[in-house]
Amino acid sequence: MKLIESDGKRLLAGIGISVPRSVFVRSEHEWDAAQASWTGASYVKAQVLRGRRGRAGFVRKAETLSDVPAVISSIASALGACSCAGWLIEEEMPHEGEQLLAMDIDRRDGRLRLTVASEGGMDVASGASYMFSDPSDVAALPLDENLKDIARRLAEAMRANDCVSIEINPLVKRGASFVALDAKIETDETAAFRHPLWEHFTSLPAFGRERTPYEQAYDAFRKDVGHRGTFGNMIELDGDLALILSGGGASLMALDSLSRAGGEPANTCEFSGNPEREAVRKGAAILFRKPGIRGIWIAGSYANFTDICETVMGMLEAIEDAGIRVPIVIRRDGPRKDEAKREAITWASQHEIPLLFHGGDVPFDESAKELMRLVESRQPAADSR
Amino acid sequence: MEYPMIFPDTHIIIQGMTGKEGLRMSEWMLEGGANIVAGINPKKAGEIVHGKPIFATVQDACAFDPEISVTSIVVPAPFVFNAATEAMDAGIRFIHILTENVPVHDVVELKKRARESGAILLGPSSVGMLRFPGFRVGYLGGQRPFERLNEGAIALISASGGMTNEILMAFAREGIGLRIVLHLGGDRVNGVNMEESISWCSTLPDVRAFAVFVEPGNPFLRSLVKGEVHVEKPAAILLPGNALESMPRGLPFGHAGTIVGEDDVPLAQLRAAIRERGIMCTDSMSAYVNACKQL
Repeated sequence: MKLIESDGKRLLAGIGISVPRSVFVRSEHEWDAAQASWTGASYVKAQVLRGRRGRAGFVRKAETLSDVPAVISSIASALGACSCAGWLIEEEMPHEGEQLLAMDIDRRDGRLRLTVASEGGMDVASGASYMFSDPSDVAALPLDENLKDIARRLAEAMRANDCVSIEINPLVKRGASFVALDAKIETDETAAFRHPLWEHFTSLPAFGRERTPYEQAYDAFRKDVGHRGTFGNMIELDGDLALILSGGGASLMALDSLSRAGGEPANTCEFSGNPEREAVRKGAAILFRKPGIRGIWIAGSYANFTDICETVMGMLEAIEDAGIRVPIVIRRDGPRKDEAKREAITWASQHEIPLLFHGGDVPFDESAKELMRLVESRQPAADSR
Repeated sequence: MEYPMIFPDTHIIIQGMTGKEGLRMSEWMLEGGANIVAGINPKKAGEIVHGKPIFATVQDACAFDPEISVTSIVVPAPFVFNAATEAMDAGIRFIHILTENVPVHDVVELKKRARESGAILLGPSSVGMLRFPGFRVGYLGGQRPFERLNEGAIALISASGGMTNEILMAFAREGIGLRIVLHLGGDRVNGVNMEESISWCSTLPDVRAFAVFVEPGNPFLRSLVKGEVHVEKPAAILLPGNALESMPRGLPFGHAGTIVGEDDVPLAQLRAAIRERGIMCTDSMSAYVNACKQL
């Protein structure tokens, strides 16, 4: 989960890193100058999950506290479709110099990696990188003692807070000390079970836009069903072919094949593992309710332990629930594939819906082409229900 | 870290053998000829599952059978760290983790401990490893894999479990022979990484060439293009993901480790750079299989 700056700074303050005084409001109507424990100029910062906010005009200065509502309105009108969780009103912080300090995990060997750039800001190209295994290793790095102290705190916070990355840019120098003027933090969602307080973070979609109604319905389903690893994230797209993909790598292969065949997906969504038939039915039904669907492709790799019959039939029941009558191509293999094929063909015959069932010996490219052939030989979407 | 000494009769335990996945995986492994000697579950010690004794701890199992050298972990994600640590403390040096959704910092810490103790960590989110003539841990290859797959000299190393099976099926159809198959997992951080796997298999005289499946965002790709890693034997790489280029960047797709970064080069350019290093690289399954036939 990517944290908004306001939540990120609370985390930094909690580990002893200085941040400016600030107030978080959801809208200009919530702003009350009396909330501020400072006087004078402030920065109004849109709480969005995108980089280069300053350049986009999403961070602006308010000369007085009473100017804040007008500045919020002015930025809000420029946000467009960009999701914004609220506004961080922060005291101005004159400083002598800017740096970048970032920590993440080197994916190749799993060590912590500290990056330090002697200049902060929006155009930082590169910095010095240091790899280490233990926070105490920071003591040996060739850095200013104050920076070392911050780096050590970040290293400890990475593990304690299950962070994937922490970036402070800029980290500004004021006399002998440093203050974090921004915080870009990503936490590891798989560790949520040991961080009940994460529920209090402000959730904001990381797509740069609001979640669509279908995505929201699907998100609610995922939360209810409690198998986030089984039912992957769903992204609604502009095409007209509903997809249910299985397998991380196979999903990529399938999407590439569909694109080569000239098809445009209405969504991406991955069902993996071995989910219950009823759960599959509920999740799939959300995808099939989208208007304008002209075809459905259920595609995945040769499963290791997924019950192909149960999952495929759950999807076909969802098609029935959604009342949609469009061509279906299934490309699945693995445990109980032959039963799945028999039951799916019988189901399609009873419902008079064109359906092809491909096993693992039919390449993704060929299966995608067959889907397009069926879709293009049918009437337009208006006739599909 | 050295290549594990494994043989068809290597003694294996399953941590979490009494759970739903543990039961099924161990059944498949036994059918495929794996020498599972015991299972672990602290609450079910003394029971017998698939004819094998269940012990409370790995240490108890190792006292029962000192030849145990491989474990496969199928416990829920929050318990994986303790299970793997227990195995390392008991002296087991090959640890396979099937479980998905293990927190990345647990993997980081396990990797550190594995480095220190000389253990090999395969996974998490790995469907396993297979080595001809008859060693298999995990689900890899499905039921009775040695009856369906061809023995040969290719090492298949993959970041995707499903695609590993997909490639195995294609190789079986086309008569391509395998020596070893490793599924590393697709998480942000994996135990054994692609470079280490290739480096190990390069030392095996019965491995002639590599077939690799890798996804965008894997750090191996950058290392390969920069010349930081060398593949000493002929190789073909299947690298899909063109469709990701029209998706939001910086978000994981499918596997947690499949992330196209803001500044990553286009995939077509990446594939071309890999080919300049003398390695076949494609997004087409048929071209990949044809190339593997020639390896």
